Amino acid sequence: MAVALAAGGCSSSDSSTPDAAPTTGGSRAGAAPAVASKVTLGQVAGTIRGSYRKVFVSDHRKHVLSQVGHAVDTWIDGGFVGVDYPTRSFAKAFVAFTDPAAHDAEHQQKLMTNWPLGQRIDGVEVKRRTVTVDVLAPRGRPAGATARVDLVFDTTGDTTKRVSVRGRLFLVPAAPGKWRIFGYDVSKGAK
Amino acid sequence: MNRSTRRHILRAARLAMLGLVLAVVTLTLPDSAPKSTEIALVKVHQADAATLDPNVISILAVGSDARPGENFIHTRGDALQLVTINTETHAASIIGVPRDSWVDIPGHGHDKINASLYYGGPDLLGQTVGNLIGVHPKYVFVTRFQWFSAMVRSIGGIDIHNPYAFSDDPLKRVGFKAGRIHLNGYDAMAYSRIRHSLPRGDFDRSAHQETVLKGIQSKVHANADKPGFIERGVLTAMSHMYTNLPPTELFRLAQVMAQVDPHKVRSCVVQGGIGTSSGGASIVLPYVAQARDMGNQIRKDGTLSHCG
Repeated sequence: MAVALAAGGCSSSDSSTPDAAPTTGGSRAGAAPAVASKVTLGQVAGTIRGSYRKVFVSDHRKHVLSQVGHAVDTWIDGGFVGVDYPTRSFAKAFVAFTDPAAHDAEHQQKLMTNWPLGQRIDGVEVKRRTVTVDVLAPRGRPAGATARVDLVFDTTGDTTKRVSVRGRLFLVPAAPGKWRIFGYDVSKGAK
Repeated sequence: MNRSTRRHILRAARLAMLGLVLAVVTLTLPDSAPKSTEIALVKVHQADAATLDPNVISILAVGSDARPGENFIHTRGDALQLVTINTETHAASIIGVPRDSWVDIPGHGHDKINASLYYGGPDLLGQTVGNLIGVHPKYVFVTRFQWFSAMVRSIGGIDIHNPYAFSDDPLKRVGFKAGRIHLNGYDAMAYSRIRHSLPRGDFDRSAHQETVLKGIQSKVHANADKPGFIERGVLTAMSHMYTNLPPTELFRLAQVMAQVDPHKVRSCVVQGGIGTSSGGASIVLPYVAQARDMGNQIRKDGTLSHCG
């Protein structure tokens, strides 16, 4: 399959770190907000022609990364590392989700937030926090994105665990300047 | 390590459609030029939308037997499969309709069901199949068999379980062995089209088409987490597709399809008696009650518990 994908000929791979940030940081009660994710561009489909690539790079690349990164970060911060612990509430975790997506994510709090661990800790220390964005951009114009998330953090307090959250978030552009998360495929583990 | 995994795609995606057949859409093919229109995705009038579970989307997948130069959305549909997906549970169902089913085609009287594509294009075909099953598809997806072969080839073929050995001359003289077998692009096409050598003819062929669709979906599902896989597939499909849907919706659809759990896909074929039309053609007299029972099942949550 990898060969077939490579033969597709209508994608390009690029990387950048417009929102590059340290990959360590954390949240404790009363502490400063957690740092943003390191966001990089992954595969882009739709920019094989030079003119399309130019449109994407000059008009959209920076915005896509920052806007998708922002949407994903609202989830990472609100659900895991930007929360005042101890807490059992993760009310801001799904503000960038579409309504149906938020509804379903709220029913999967154990997966999509740091619940129930959040009640027994006083903070987290981020070890890795990266987001890689694959973009569907016909003729250079973004129409959809997959954000591949890799988050690792340690909890502090009564319960110390290393938590890893990995998976994909699916996004589409919504209002100007905003992307919304309409689906996800996420796994979470703690040890 | 305690791990839990959930795959999830949302009801928002009910805008989306395709389904298992969207496997066709999400696969990558060489982006060669010139690009011809090989697939069509058409949104059709849906009279019973309000009665369907909002998490359920139905798509009629049609394999066209159009020859080169023919308008493939106005020929006879050779494969008719109603695919229904529950976007919340990631379950799906496939209902096969024998192409020779003798039904009333609105505005055209009784004829083989696949003639409705010739008479009125995807809209009329969707309406006709919907009248038989009792659930009208929201979308009709039509593809040429040649594209179908190329698509399967592009993903390295598929693996299926073949319940019994059979062969066909001229499509597959060496035949297909029973058991777990690998189908390349041509094989998948042949497996889907062979009829004369099958014990139950059109019914078995329809079941074979469902088997191939499930094989394709399973392959897509297995590759969906590869970086850029869905994005590239959608883009390639767009370059060969006639549709009035924006790329954003196509992207959602592709993700919906890719998230279907292959273990949650069940298929049935509408059965019927064999007859002869007034013109002397061999026809299938579909068991309408059985078709409607299937429709009632999928109307609830998109799944089939039994074939009846």
